Amino acid sequence: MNMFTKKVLEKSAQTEKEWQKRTSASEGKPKQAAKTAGGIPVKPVYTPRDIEATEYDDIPIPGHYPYTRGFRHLPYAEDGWMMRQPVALGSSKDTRERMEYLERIGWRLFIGQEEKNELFVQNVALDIPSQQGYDPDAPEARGRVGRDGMSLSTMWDLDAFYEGRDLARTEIFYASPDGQMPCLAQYLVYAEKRGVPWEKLRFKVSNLWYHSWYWDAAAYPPRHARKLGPELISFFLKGFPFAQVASVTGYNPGEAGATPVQEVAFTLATAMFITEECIKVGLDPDDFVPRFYGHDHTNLDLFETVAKFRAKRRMWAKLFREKFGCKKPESLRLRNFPQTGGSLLHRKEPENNIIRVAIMALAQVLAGADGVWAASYDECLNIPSQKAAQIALRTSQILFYETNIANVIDPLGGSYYVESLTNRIEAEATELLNEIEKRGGYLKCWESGWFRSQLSQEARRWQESIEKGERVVVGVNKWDVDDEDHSPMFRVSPEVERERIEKVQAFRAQRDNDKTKAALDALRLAVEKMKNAWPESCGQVMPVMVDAFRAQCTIGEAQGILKDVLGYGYTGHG
Amino acid sequence: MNMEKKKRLKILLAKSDQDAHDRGIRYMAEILQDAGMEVVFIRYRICDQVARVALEEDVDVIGMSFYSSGYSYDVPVVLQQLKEKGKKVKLVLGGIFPSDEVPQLMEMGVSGVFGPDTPTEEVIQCITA
Repeated sequence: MNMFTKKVLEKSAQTEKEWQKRTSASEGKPKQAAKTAGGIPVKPVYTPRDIEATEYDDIPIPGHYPYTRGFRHLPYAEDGWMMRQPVALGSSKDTRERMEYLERIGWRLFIGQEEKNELFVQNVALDIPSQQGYDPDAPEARGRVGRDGMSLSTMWDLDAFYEGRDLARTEIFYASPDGQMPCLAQYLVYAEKRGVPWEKLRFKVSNLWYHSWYWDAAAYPPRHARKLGPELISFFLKGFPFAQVASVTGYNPGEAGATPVQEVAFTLATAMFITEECIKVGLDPDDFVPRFYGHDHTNLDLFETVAKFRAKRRMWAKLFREKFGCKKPESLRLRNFPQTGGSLLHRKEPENNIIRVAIMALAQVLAGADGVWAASYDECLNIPSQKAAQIALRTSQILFYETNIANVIDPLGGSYYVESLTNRIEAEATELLNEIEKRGGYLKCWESGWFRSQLSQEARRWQESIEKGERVVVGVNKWDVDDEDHSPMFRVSPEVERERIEKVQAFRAQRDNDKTKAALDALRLAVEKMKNAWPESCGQVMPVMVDAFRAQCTIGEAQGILKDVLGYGYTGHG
Repeated sequence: MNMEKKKRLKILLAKSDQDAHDRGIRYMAEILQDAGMEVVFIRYRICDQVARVALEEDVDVIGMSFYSSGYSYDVPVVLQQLKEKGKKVKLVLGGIFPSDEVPQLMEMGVSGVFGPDTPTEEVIQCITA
């Protein structure tokens, strides 16, 4: 069903002609062709003719298939958006203090729901050693403990973190791509200790084992990484109604250089791959796909970002219906919790980043995202200071409370430009998906490094355009005032590392080490079985890992076994 | 002497294998190759590997990249090990460093500290100076 009559299109063509005549007469020579951040050519003005092939059914009312205009039946004003910024530094005690400060000034899971439905969120970025499975006393951890996030190793850390907090009212997320199994197993054992039934727990599982297609710090090669996703998904499908089981991230590829079109195509390819792997272990897409969630990149090109989110929603709905035969509406809706792009923040005049983040957060809201993740402006200098974390929270709050933006769903729906750009991104991403197929499919493109090479080419193009001044970054390559700030910056005290080493060693000294060793031996057996007898062994690692945490193992010990058996020649310690 | 000067510069680029943020160092690897240098790129598990590889590969310059943590431990260790082995190598750093610590790093013996917004020309100048 076309949206414009022939008469409207004729009139549109006529007025465009007049407009062209007028502008070319007044401007003299044509200007350089404008492009989006991702390189899509744009025109100075858009009209009905740019979306004449778009049918009403492509952009029906929000909440309807194919969800171009989002999933919402109610505006944000009614049920809010999730406030997803991470907070994490030093020890779990340090992190808790920061979180509680932000909670006192309004940080909740859902903005606008502070009184009606009080839920909290803990989006915890772990420090690098904890993410990589090194306890604080491992040689690899030197100089890194608690510096880029929260150091997490033993059950004592969780005691300090959660004591007195209502676990059933707090959504947990551990940012740790390869550390999901140990972190969540430890959390389950902690909940058990507190007497909180597992079915009341709320968490997002990042499940990013496949991340080596866009950078090279992954712990597991593709042939094993592909098993870990279904393992974790199958475990959390039963008995955890509030668990979202897998993240489909476009953020990290975006930071590695992906254009919006690449981000859409590559993340859809990833999601389809995970789905296929889960089908192989006997799972039904309609059971697990509704529990996927997105984590997209946000660019400073506001309209392109909005169009990207819209295009991806529409493509997701069609693919999961047509390719996988999904019947549940929830399978066709990938809830999206995007993050503002860290690589778009700059060290020079860092306060300007407050403005950049606000624009990106605005794009997330205009795109109908399910969550807003506004980063701290000093993210490119150090881990966030309290003041910067407060400003990030205020960014979300000002958007919600002061701008009236929350009153209308998909306010840009029907914009000639935005709809045209949405169509264009969908068309280009579809073409790219076909190319992945032609190149032998997702796994092949991952293992051969093709994805990586595509991203690094774009990263290079981006950086060169800044160096050449073709892409302006205010205060950096234009109107640079050359006054780098040397005033003292926020950092986590090096003392934290010493304290953390003492803590983990004291923890190991007080436990029944024979019991821990026996539990870790059982874990090693289960992981070896996973390695050698897949897919029939699916579902056997997580229960044994939970037992290992009941026997007081540490994060480093549990992940060390996974890396030793499935990783790139990890040798472990102690 | 002239022959010496014409020798192709060899640089070791090194980054901890724990740190995913490799966009910058990979970009620099390409830029330095384009500038005619020979580039060796490693991901190290512990920083002792850096001086060892620098010696084995007989490089003129080492470039280390940090996302933010780790440098406070790794940089003094690498400098000390190079000194112990009597190897004269220029060490430059790239990544995220609190700018108030840059003078300290330079005093320690680092030849240049660069961030994401540093023009690559500046990095090349420092390396070839």
